[in-house]
Amino acid sequence: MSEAEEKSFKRELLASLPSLRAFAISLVQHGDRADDLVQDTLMKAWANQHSFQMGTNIKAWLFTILRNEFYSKMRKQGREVRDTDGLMTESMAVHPAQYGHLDMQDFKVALDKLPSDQREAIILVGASGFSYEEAAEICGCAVGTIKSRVSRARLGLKETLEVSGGADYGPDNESANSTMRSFSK
Amino acid sequence: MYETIDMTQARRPNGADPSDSNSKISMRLRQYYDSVQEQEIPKRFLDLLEKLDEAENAAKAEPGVAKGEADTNERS
Repeated sequence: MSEAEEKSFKRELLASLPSLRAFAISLVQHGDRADDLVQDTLMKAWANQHSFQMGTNIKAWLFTILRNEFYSKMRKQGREVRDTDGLMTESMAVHPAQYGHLDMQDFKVALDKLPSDQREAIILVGASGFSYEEAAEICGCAVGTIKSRVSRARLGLKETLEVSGGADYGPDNESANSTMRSFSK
Repeated sequence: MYETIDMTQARRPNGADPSDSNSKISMRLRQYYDSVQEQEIPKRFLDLLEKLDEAENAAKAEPGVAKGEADTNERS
């Protein structure tokens, strides 16, 4: 890699940082661990920069590294990747400084309740701007698998947010009424 | 596991249009993600990149001396 290429590698790394960090924070259920994960990812990326081909998608490359780091840490720590009952999630998820609005915290809590494979799928496709194909590549699975994870993630989020009663997500008046009617029958 | 994609309709016979609530979820997801993305990058990362850069330059100037330092950063 030439000196000019190294300079632009660093520049591209810097340019990808905000979205890389947003991915880490969304993926990890604890804010502090997210930044450690970003740090490890940056070091790994730096050490392996010769394996990155300039001109290809650096964001996808970095996301893949971060994701691999995430799962290998999980395995090392013997932590359950899946935190379905949300016990850990509820106690750790709320970092007011990190998610300004209350609204965002609610959403993060809902996101944390998803199994991590569904969480990463919906973030990659729905927020980080990757195509289904790119997301499949990052996660090392089939495109169809990503698609079904995304749709299950949507259902999961919808359920959590509807139950927790955000105004926009509760039943609208009409369906609330019909629910009431069906109960009173 | 639940393989039925059509659960929304199955569960909410009188419910709202599922595509509408899908788009609400998508919108909220993007709002959440953008709000995280807009946060200022912690200084530790900028410092880290600076250090990695310096270590590498030093390694080039004196092959074999500073290189070890950069390498210890890479954990297998």
